[in-house]
Amino acid sequence: MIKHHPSSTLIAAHAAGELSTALSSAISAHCELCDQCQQLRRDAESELAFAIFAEPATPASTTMFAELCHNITELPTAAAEVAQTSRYVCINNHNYRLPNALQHAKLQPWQRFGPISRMRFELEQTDGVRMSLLHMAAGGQIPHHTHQGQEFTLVLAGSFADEDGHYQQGDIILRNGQHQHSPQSDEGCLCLTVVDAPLHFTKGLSQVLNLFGQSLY
Amino acid sequence: MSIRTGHSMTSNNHVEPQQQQWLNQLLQRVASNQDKAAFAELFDWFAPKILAYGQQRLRSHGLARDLLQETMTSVWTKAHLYHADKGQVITWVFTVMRNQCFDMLRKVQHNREDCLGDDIWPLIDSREAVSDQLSNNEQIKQMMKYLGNLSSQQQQVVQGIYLRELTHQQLAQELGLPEGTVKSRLRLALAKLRSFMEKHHD
Repeated sequence: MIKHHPSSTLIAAHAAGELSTALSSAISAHCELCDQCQQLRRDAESELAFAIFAEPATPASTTMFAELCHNITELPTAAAEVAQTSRYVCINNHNYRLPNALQHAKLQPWQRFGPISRMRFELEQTDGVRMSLLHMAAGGQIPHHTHQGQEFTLVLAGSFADEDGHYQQGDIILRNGQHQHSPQSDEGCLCLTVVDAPLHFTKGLSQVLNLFGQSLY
Repeated sequence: MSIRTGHSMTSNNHVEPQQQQWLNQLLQRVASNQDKAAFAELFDWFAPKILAYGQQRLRSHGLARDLLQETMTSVWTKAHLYHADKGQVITWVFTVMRNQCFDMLRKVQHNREDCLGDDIWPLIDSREAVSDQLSNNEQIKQMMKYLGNLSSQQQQVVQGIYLRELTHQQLAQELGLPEGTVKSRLRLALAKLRSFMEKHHD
């Protein structure tokens, strides 16, 4: 049962195509797992469609239209089949199917940090937004840290817990500068993370990690 | 921005039910008969509105015209993916246009050539895809089980080529083997996998 959902504002912005590629992908991956949010997105799309297409049409250059229209209908139609692809990532001898939104996203190789493995996506540079797959092996833990900026975490498989709760497949949570947490996973998990600023480690030796800057996520 | 619940409509974003039905019939004619006259009517109804949307989002006449062309081309070539029971024609055309516009913006602003819009907002219902996905997952699970019966060298090449999607050359380099050895090892591994599968399907 999914308990943590994106806000309706975020779903509306997602439906309008106004979010970054990273955030759009994360919301899309959540909707793929969550019927309730998928319905909210459909409602938002319907609202937008009616708002845009109910505008009274201003007549435009008919000759230009006629030619464009004619050229399109000269194209073949039957060949346009949409193939559903299934792309997997393999980590710790487990195969995970990537969400639809990430079927063609460009991936970098896995990098390991002890029990944590990270695979970063190659994205366009938009204000330091980064998207990664984060795998925590069973019993794995991320040292205490806070976030400068925002971090979205979507559980794709398995589960993890932090000081505030327990999160399962489909749950999406938002963390920002006010939160200080140290996630850990008993059974192991694969998450999709979207961050718009580096993490800041707060305790003991883990503060050394700050020196490495954007090492994790 | 806020979402109004349900389909409550204000007076300025109202499309008459008869008009929706008319658009629906036009698209059905395009989907089943490649009806050019029906497409021309759809085109006339949508074109000025798509241009206005493109102008607003892309801030250029040329790009707005490209958006119109790409959107209506998809409507023509993908009309068979539209199902009347899953929503209105105008909602479907909106999703096609939004996906296209998203990729155009990425291209213009960030020089990205790849198309992600139709992955992020799939045009086919994901519920249909899920059943495929499940049976596919079952097969994958089964396959992974058989994979465990191969020698570790054979597992290595199958995983390298099919799971990590390396080329023969990349994998050969990684293993420090000639490419020919990788290929023949893979051939043997696949033959063995096949024999496992056949045995268990009898």
